[in-house]
Amino acid sequence: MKQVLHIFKKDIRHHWPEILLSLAVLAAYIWNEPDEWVPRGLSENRLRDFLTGGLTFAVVVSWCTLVVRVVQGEKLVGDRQFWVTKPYDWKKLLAAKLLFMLVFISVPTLIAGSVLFAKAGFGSPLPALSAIVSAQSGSIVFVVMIAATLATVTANITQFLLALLAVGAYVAIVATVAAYVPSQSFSSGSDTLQEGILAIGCIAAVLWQYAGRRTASSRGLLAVSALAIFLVVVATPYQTLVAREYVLPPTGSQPVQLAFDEAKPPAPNVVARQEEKDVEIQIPIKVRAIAAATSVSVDGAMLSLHAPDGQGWSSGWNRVGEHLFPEDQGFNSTFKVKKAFFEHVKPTPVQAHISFALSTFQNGETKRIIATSGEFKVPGLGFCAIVQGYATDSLRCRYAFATPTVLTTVSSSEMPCPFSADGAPRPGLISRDWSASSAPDLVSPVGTLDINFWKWEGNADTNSSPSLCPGTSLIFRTQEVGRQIRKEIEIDDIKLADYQTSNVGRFSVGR
Amino acid sequence: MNSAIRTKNLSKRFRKVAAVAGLNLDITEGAIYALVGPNGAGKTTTIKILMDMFRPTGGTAEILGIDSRKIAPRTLALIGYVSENQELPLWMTVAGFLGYLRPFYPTWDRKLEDELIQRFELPPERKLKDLSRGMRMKAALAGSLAYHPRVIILDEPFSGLDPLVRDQLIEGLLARASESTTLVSSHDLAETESFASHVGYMEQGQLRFSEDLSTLRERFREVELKFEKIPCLPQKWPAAWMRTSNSGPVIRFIESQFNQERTCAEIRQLLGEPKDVTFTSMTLRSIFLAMAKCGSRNVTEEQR
Repeated sequence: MKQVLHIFKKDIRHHWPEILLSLAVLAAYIWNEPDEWVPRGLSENRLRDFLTGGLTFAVVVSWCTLVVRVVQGEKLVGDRQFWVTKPYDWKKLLAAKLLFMLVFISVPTLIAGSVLFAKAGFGSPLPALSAIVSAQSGSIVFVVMIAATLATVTANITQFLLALLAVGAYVAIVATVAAYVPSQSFSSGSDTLQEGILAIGCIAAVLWQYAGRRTASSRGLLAVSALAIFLVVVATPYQTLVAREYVLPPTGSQPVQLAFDEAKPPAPNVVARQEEKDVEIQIPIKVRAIAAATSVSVDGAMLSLHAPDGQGWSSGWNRVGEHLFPEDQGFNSTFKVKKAFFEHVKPTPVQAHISFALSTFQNGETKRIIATSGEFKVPGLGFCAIVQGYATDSLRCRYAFATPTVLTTVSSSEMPCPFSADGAPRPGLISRDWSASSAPDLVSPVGTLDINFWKWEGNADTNSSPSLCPGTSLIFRTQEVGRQIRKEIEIDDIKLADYQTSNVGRFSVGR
Repeated sequence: MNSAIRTKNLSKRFRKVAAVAGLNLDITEGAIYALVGPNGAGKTTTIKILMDMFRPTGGTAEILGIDSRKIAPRTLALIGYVSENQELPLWMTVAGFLGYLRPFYPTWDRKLEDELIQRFELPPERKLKDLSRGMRMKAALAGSLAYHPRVIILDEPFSGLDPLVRDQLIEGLLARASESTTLVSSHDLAETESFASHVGYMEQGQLRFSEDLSTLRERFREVELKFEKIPCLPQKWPAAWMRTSNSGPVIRFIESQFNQERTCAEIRQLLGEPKDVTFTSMTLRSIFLAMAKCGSRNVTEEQR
């Protein structure tokens, strides 16, 4: 321990400018972050968002700088550094470096998180310390692990930056290749395996370097890990994983019934531009039998087409993000079909098979809150305030650690806001926002959630969006996750051209 | 005597280049061993293998009886290492540098540290980055002597230093030589000659010879023969005669296995009775220049 502290003290003496800089950046972050919680006008938002994004980036850069400088204070690459001929114990050297990162990255970040927690009005941070640590540890460990690994296999900051560029290029290549792997964007089934390979690769390379300064083999180990992650990304049987995650329910216990809506008139026929590679189609789906006090999230969908001549095409699983409620009658499921296949089968009906990955939710605790001017407390969520926007009004809420999945509803019958003569909605209309569980990242345990009410639902006879004002009654219902199921729909003889909507890339709302 | 440093068939390749090729070196305890040779001979590579900075491709290297690949901190605490290329923590002051090293060595001697600071005229409060190259070498040497190391390894410590600094370094080294085994690699043959007890000559990754300095000096002589008339030259010169040349009745060469009686007999047998014979002692520098030139000539002939 004496040697650990001896090296640690030396590192403090050497790296005090970087330590001060890092603390200054963190102080600026603490100073600026509460502004993120306060709703403001759009013009001010841009400047604030830029500053917030910039400071978050600066915090990450300051962490990386500290890690690189302290690791390369006793650099492991090369054969000229004085310390390699001195009686350093590599385990103690590594421990000293980890202690430095703990004291000058983890502890200040914990303090910053605690200050923000208290400033956000969630009370004393002391009882919440372990939760704050837990909320911060993921991002800190990720950034520090990547920076420390690259610092151990590079000789100086220039080499480190080049290695970082190489990592960026690798990520871009993997992401580009992954975009061509069917169902990859939907399934997160191999994420844990990829993270595991990354963590094992990084830790092994760091230990190998400290134990023996074998730079070539440590770099080789990292390259092998990168290759393994790439192979996992391209070779994972995503469809099998989705099928395992979303099971086919027994016939008697269907939380929702989905069927092809033959009666729904097809969308207008639009000819795709020659240069487009895909053609967008929307298939109308009937929705039935969603039980009261439940909702269904359409997480993903997959379309498989079979032409009479034996040719076939599948979209793979794609994310959807549609939410269905008991009163919903249907929705349009949008797919992008390869243009070559579309043109091939355009004149003839084909057989279609649609698979839906669904999550069911049950209404949990319900809270009715009357909005006030300024901030008002929403138990179980945090603090919310009305944001008056140019086009729509919304709520901005701040929460600690994570939000539950929550369904927020406003009703035109309980809205005391003044309307213009032609903009007043008739009583009985509702507007909803379904917000998935979210968590803040990096330093702050306090996150913000925007709850938007875009339009009135049902047969609304107004184009105006819901207005929010003090006195508006807001209903917050936490959504408890039920089952994850799969629904299969067979459609015989569908003519794709009847369902073509537009050129791909056009903004469209499914419902 | 026990060996403080020993290598056995040591080899190190960097891709296709053999930096060290089957090196067998044995340095007894208490010796001041000068490892000399031309650039690229493999001296620094050998030292870096001994210090576990490089791993050997083949063979073994031992220091204080421990395989270089298994050198632990407690062994490093018995070794003092200084190299001309060493990257020192330049942000530290001299006192800070020595103070930082102190806790790593159980045998660190504060009195000796002060003595070395005085001997080397080191400014304690100056940062290493503000010191001249010579002063940095002295600071590095002070940091490697203050704990009474059993082995001192110096890699080209004198190159590029002015004579005064070199003398100070050598004096500092000699003052501690009695308690250590010292291995010095150097191009500076004149300085090496002044303090080394043993010398090894490395060339193309191999040790051409290794012996104590007095024996080496006895072994080499510049020989000049004068004859009455131009002698009949033999087809092949003896292997021990190096750099043989003739100018009319005068023949010169370097005898590498000098023994006056045997050398004279060999001259008479090959060339007849000379009118005059002169044997001149050689400096270490002259010996190695002859060796180096002879070596490179041999290589050229082999390549042809």
